[in-house]
Amino acid sequence: MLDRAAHDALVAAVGSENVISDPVQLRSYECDGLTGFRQTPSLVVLPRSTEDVAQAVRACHRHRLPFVARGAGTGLSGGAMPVADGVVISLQRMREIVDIDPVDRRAVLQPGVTNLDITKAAAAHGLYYAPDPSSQQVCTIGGNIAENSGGAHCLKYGFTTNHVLSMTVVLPDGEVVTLGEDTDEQLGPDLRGVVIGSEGTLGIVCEITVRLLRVPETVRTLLADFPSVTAAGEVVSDLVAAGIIPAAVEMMDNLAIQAAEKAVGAGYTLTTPAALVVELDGPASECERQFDQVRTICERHGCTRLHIAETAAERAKIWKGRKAAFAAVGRISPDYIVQDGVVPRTRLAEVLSRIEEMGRDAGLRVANVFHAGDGNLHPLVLFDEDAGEMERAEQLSTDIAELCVELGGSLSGEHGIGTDKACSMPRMFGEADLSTMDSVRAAFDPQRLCNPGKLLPTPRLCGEKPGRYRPHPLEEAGVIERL
Amino acid sequence: MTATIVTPTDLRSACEAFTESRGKVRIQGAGTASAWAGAADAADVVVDATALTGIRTYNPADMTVSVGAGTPLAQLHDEAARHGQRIAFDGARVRRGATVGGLIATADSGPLALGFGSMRDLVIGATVVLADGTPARTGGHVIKNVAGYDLAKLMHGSYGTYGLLTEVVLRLHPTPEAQRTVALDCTLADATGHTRSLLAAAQEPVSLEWADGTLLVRIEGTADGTETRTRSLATLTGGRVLADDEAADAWERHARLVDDATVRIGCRPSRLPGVLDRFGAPAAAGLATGVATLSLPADRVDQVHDAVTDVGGTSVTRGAAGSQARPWGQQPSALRVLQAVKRELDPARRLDSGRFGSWFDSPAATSEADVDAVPESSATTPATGPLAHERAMGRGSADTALTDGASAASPPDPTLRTTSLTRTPTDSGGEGPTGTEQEDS
Repeated sequence: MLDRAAHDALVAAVGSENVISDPVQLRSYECDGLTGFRQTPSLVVLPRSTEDVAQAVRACHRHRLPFVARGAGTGLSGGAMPVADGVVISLQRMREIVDIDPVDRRAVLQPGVTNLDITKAAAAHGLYYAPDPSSQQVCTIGGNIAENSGGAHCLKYGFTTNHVLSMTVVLPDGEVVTLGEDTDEQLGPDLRGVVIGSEGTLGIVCEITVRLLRVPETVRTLLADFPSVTAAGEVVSDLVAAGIIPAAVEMMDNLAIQAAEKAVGAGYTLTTPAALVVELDGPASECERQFDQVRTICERHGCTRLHIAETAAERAKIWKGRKAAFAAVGRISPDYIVQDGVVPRTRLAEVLSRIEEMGRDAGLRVANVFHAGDGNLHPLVLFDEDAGEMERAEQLSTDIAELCVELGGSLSGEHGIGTDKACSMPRMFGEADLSTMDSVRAAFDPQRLCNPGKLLPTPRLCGEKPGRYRPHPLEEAGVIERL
Repeated sequence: MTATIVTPTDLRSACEAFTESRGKVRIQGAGTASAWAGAADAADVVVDATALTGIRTYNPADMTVSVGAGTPLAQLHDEAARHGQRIAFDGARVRRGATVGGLIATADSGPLALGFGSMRDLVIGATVVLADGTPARTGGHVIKNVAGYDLAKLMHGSYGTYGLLTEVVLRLHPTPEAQRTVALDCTLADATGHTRSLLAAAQEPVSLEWADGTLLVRIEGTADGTETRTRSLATLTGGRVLADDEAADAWERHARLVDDATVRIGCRPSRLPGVLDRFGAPAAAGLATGVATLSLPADRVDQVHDAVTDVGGTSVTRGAAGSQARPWGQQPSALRVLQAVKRELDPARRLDSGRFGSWFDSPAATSEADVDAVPESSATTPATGPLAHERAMGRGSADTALTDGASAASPPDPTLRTTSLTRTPTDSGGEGPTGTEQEDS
């Protein structure tokens, strides 16, 4: 419970109509998309302006209250999970599209604007916002900045960090600053780039200027079935070798295909061991020839069915299946965990066979959906909590993320570390690396009030006994040194 | 004052360059931007990064490469070209031997920035040695990665103030099958009009620059597609498709303009022509990006700073400006954070920060938040106290490991993690020299 003075200060900051303190209502803020981690906050405030946010943060700072910023709550790493005895600052009432500038091709947004709404607002000018996480209908630009979200098209177009020009940020002591500029020319070190992807630990982003791109002249999408995941993986390698950067290359294995097809009837082949969605976009003269190359490469690797979307509706259907895949897994399993890891693309086949092996050993099924172009895996660990499988499933999921590190990759491609993987960070980074990151955090937030307990491991979170030192796999391979 | 020059060849000697020296340190690369952004501080030690060279890992199928930060980018271009790939970066000083680390530290960019961004958009991982010799890694070897803070971004534009880049991981792109440039001699006003129609058309130029009287538009892609697009571009603008050697000459002329510049500016693209018009100086201007370099007498650079600041833009001096002009136009809004990062990463202020003029000399203005803070948040509570622990433990261990050869390769003491990362909001009551930092802010 908050003490009276702190409570009153927050009410004064945002107005009583923008405060939730009813215990029942507070429960709806107890977790984000990672529902296994729950903590009811002491108070939720719903500011309507940057100044409201600044006032709320100042109140927290003055009363030493930890606070957690929250967008749509779609995050999958527990990054927006409340802190005990802390405050949630929800940005859901800051949903204004402040400006769309078709000449300088940028949009100014409040943090609660959904990703897809940016594109909808820009469409009248033939423009769009490129990053497109699967949850784009509901996830917010503020949350995208926290996680440096990518999406299916980031292989070609990059991530949130490549599309944000500047942002107004309320620092953890309530000071309002602007990070970033009107162009990529910065005044000194690029703090904008540090805050993007920092999972809400360095401040609260309040007004964001993003770049808009011209809608490509042509988009060509195909869905291709393959006799094995390996064959589909070879197609991806050959595309790269041919110098083709597709707008998107998505792979699904049989379990994922079954789930998606049951959910949305996207026209996927239920029996195929693997399928690829390949999309090219750009000027028509470029697209057509490369699309022919893609078809040839697919055929070379034993493609058993190749379906080309002839209309926008067919294209949308193919994508609907892919984007619904996570949720669809609920149709083939009572419970599941969505994992997120990255391996160098050339290790895809290896990681998949290892995951299959590990799943077999654990007696659990794993469905795979992934952004094959950039090696970002989303293994879905299927389990039945009622059958007592949860602990095993969580262990398997963690092991998979750590396997990605072992293969030279990363613990997370787009979901973030949050609460979920903080304790795995020492597998990827050494002591000096983590302590340097922590120093940067201290520079922004010396009081440790801004989303504490996330991203970096703490003894409270991970147990007092740190694990035995293990050399980083890249270190063993002689790729990096640790001193 | 004569500075001692230290030339590390690997990560260990790079750390030793700091742990086994005393006094002010200046980091130096190939020297192609040594006079950018004002004058460097006098240094006791110059760390020459140019021997931190060579490709460490390059797997073309993954389209990523890790290199010593002192590697000239041109060398890396040659190696990548053998595999049909490139680093999509063409800053003018690459051809003068600029190093990968130097290009990042100075936040340079070239005409390809329209299509591919600057080095910040191509860096996916880095190893940095801090001023106390601590080596820290960030990012990794994969393009997509949100594990931990992206400290490579912090190094971008840091001019050697926060640390020494020793190794950098970059993403590559396929070399396009064809490249074509359309040129049109025209006024800035006409070039501005053409830029609008070109961006609205579907030709997707990767570079669009007005180089002192000539609009240059570069198209890349498949051979056929590039032909089709450049022809339609030429028709649209009334420009001419250049032969390969003509195109090379035109871009070389552009690069020389950039080399000779006294100031680099950035502002909203629609505001750029107005600023350029005011000075009428030779300029290389990215009309679509809003970034331009101007060549005008050093004594007029301050006027450019003021004009750009008036339109909300950024400006910084380039080599030919000498030390007559202010190095930067406006100060960054978050100067206080830059200062706090400096205190965290280089508390002894060993690393040269002269390039930022007086930014790091005096505390930034007190924030409103501090003004209204109740007494317990003032300097009487050393809220940053645990940092003192960190320095004593985490950083100290790096020092020890490096000065003691036998322990240098041994694993870090696992107990350190517990200590240095114990920071809960309620656990902020430590003692330490950082208590004074609060007073500064």
